[in-house]
Amino acid sequence: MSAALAEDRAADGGLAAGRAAYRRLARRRLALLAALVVLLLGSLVADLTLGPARYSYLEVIRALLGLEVPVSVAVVVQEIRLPVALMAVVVGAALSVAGAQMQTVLNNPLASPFTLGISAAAGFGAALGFVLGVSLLPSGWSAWTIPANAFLCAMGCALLIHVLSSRRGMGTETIVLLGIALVFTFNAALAALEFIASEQALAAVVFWTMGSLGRTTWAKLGIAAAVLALVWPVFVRQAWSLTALRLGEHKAASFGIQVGRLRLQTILLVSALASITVAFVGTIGFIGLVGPHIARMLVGEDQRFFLPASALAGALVLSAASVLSKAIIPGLILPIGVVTALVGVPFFFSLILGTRSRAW
Amino acid sequence: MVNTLTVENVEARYGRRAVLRGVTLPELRGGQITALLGPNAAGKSTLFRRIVGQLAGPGTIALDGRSLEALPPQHPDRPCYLPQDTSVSAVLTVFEAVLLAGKQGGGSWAVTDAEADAVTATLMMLEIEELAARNLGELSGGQRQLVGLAQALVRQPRILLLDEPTSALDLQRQVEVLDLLQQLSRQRGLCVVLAIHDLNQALRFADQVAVLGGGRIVAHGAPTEVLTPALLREVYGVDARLERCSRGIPFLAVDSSTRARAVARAIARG
Repeated sequence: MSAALAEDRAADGGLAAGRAAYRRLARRRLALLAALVVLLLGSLVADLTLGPARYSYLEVIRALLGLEVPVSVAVVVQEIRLPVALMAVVVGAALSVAGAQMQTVLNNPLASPFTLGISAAAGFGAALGFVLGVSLLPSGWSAWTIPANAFLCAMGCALLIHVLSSRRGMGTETIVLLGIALVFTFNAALAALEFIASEQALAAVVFWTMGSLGRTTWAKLGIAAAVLALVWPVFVRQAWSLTALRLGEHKAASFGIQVGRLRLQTILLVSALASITVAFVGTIGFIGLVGPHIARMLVGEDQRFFLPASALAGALVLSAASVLSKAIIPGLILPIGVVTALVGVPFFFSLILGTRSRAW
Repeated sequence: MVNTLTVENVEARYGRRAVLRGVTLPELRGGQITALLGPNAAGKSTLFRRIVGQLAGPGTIALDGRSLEALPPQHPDRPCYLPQDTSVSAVLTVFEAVLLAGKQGGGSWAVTDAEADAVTATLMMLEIEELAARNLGELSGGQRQLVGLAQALVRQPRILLLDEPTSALDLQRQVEVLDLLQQLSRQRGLCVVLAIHDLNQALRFADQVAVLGGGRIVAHGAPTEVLTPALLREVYGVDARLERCSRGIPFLAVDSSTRARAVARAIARG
């Protein structure tokens, strides 16, 4: 090894070759992101064609572009199906980004927003409304009782973890263990509520926990999209630091990154993202796990590619699940959480077992 | 230009256990290699972490007379620390991992030609450019250690703290890496501090050594003056002599360990 010899070899074209190889890698990753965008658009349009009445792709595209179509088609596509289809995209992206960052900061491939008990807390909050009629909002906001209860309980759970881990300086393993303990606690509390619930309330709780996009409104879609849009720039700004975190705490700290602060900030943002989506669509836990793993297999863990790839992969998986939930039994819309698990898990297994490169 | 690191009366503790008890290092200057020696758990890694600010505690750490605490965490003049642990599960290529270090965890998403060239030049310097497209998880321990060195060198530091940087390397690579560090130190004024267990490598490549024991510096100075039989017996519990080969290069010949002798006596007594 010699610094002088290396300079000679660099002058002989070594630098140009290294630069070209890196640019090729970056272009390949951008092409994969573009492919995910195309697939997502295809899935979105397919989602809009399906429902009690089936429309052609041409009709849907014309309706979306405001071109001439029967009024009924325009109303159904634009007012009824579009917010639901877009909600699948936004929720899929949000849950997948949340899962990606949770896996990154906790250095754990099994981590997802739900590892910390967020989903279980949301389910408990919703059940409080369904079973006991408790509203955590002031009176006059009854239409928002269930999502608000779910959101506030989920955020309460996240804040509890935030406070405990700030004060005690916990490591990632302890945070995960604490989260798992909270999952069991909230699930037990939910079971207790279900035990005393009326038949009607019990059915409502069970349906809510299965996850459904059917309760979407433009207002809910707007709120979920706004939270994602607010959180996104923070992750973009932290992209290099978050990538460095995957090299290990000590290595990241040696780059001057304040690891503890970055981890807690990310956990809080991820919790907000997951809480708001769970509050609106119920429990769809699988996306936060599978989306990041698909992204990781496609583009690696450089957050400049991993972050958008996670969002796109999660959006694509949930949008495709929405299509399947309407296509499997014509005329019946299956709960989206059930479809993502039943169809997505075998697909995920095939990816994990079929890939030659390391998935984690 | 930053070229002198001062470490005085530095303390550090894990909970109630004091690991460093008023450590003062000899002045660490650019153009020099300092070997930080001491048995396992002597506090070498802790001292590095204390110097770069990963651990808090009393004491003075200054760069050219300016307190290190006054510099922001990602300031380029801060000492660059390469931790000992090379295990990593990140799905990143070697090129990306070194690029990431060059970015020091911040900056624009765009990668300029100069940044990409700096990565390639560093990989070439360590003769691992053929690994550029390989994933970190596919590398051997020694290759990961070289990538870690590349991550440190790509940042073009003025002060480099290396925690056992050659522990996973074969003999040839050990000599090559230490030789490269010596070149960089001499030619570019780099100040290198390395924690190392191989005392013969310390004798050969270090300009000065500092020996940690019991949370304090027990000796420091020129390697051949510090590594005396008495010190080696006190710190490492071995009987050893400093010899010179036919070419005049000093080396340590270890006769026996006091613990091994005690065990042999106990066995003999039955």
